[in-house]
Amino acid sequence: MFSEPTHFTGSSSYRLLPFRFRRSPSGNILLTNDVGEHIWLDNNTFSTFANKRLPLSDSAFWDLESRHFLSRDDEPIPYDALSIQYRTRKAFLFDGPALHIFVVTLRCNHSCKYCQVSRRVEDEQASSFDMTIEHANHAISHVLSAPAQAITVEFQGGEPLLAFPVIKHVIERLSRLAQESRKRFKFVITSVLHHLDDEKLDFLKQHEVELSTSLDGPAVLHNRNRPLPGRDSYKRTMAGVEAARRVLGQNAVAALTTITKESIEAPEQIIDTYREHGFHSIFLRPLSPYGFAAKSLRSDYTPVQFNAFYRRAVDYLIQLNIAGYPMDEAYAALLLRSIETPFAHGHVDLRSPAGAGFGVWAYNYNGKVYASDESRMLAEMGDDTFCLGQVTDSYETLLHSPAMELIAAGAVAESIPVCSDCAFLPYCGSDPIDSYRRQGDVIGHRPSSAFCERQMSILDYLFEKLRAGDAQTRAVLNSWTTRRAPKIEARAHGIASST
Amino acid sequence: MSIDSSLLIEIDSALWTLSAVQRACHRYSGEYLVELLKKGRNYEVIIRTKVGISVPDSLRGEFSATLIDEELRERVTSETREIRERLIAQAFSGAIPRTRPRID
Repeated sequence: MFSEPTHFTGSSSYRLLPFRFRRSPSGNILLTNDVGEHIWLDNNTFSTFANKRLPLSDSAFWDLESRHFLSRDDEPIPYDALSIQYRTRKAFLFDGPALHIFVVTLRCNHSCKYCQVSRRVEDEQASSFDMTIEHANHAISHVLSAPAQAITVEFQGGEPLLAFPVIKHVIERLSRLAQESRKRFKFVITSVLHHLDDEKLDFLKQHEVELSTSLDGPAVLHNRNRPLPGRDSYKRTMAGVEAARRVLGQNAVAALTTITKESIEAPEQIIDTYREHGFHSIFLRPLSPYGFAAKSLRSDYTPVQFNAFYRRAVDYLIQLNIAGYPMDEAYAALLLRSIETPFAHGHVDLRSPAGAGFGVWAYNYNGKVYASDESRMLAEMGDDTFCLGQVTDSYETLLHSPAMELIAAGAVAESIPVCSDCAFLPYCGSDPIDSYRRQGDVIGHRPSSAFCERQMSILDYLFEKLRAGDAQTRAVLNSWTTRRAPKIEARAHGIASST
Repeated sequence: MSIDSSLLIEIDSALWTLSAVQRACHRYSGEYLVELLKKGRNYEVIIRTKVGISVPDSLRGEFSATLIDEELRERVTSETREIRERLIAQAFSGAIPRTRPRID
């Protein structure tokens, strides 16, 4: 059960286990391995370790051994433990597409400057731009063919509530088939919430449907980003949020903000708006290069500006938490869970192999199936490269389509130049659609990649907070990992708590 | 501050692998224009700015440090390749669909 005393005083000759490293701006060196463990070393210790001269008497030896960065020559390599950890982090692979997006309509009543799709006006003839029931039924059969037992069905648009009969049909049908198919379904509708009524809310409550909406910040900012001719988008969205909360519960609505040029100088005001309306999570989402947003990208902000905004915003959020109001930044929370826990988050935009096609399918209103929501946005811009096929095609045909083969070529970060050597690889992912859109091919060029620049900035920031932040800061970030409010009073004694 | 718009770095090919030199060059190819040549027993790396301003003096030292790191990464990858491959193979050894015959 216990090792012999010589285990702790014997030879320290060892072999290296696979690892990657990064020199942080602070001068320290971050090491990570394939199972997601990490450790910080100073330059001298790192050099000694890498040259296999680190003595047993150095405390770093034990940390490196326990976190699987080295294995003593007289000990077996713990393949069983490591392979289980690796499989756990890649568990999403066994589910196939677990996120299924139903784009039920292209109709919308907004004219958002950063809209990612070519919208159709609210009153336009529904038959042309709504998903038919026949197409919906074919899509449902693909949902049921996916290996995953836990499946998320997300309704998008345009404004999906304008095609509520289609949503109702899909939810009712899948709910009836849940037991027989041995699957559990989570339903989410992304909506501006301007078209809710009692009948819809009762249905959503009955089926435990979650809602996601856009809230860009204070009314002035929100309305500027999301013009609604003659009406007040902010006021109507907040009215929808309140109506939903009254029927579905306080936490029924999640919100995210799209960061525009106008948002860059106002992180505190945006966060304060969320706090005023009782949100406990905010997703600071940068502009994506699709649709109308692509046209405005040239005149909008640089990656450097976004990264500065993000750090300022999260610094402010951390202080808000310390002052007693729990709120996380959703993207940071995702990354922190990946850093601090052994589990796969499977977020489709942040995994390797990529989520596009392997983890998500999007069924467009017109019967076409795409590898992701971004793929169908690309199609709306005239590029159908990532269309898997028609919804009437078989599951296997869609899975083995030329589009999937193309995605596969850029889907594995472990094989992409720079990514393959990056210390952040266990917590990051590949996004072949984004690479294709921004740089012209699914692999891309990492040294000039805006996605890569943003990811590294955020991960550098979070790792530095975890390494050198004060006890209160680390407690707040830990609470984001577990999605529980931080016990700030315990922080005063420098005692970490996860409850 | 250098007044040249390009930086020439000569690298002894007996001391550094071509792969490490290529990887180091690649890392700077986002911010700079990088050219890699073979001149006798040396590699020549020519770095130019994309906007025609001068290349900072510090870049020579930074590139050298990057080259050392790339050489280390190559060594670590080479030494641990078989361990990594076995780890991943073992992690997914149960992933073969039951409906298909196992190929042993």
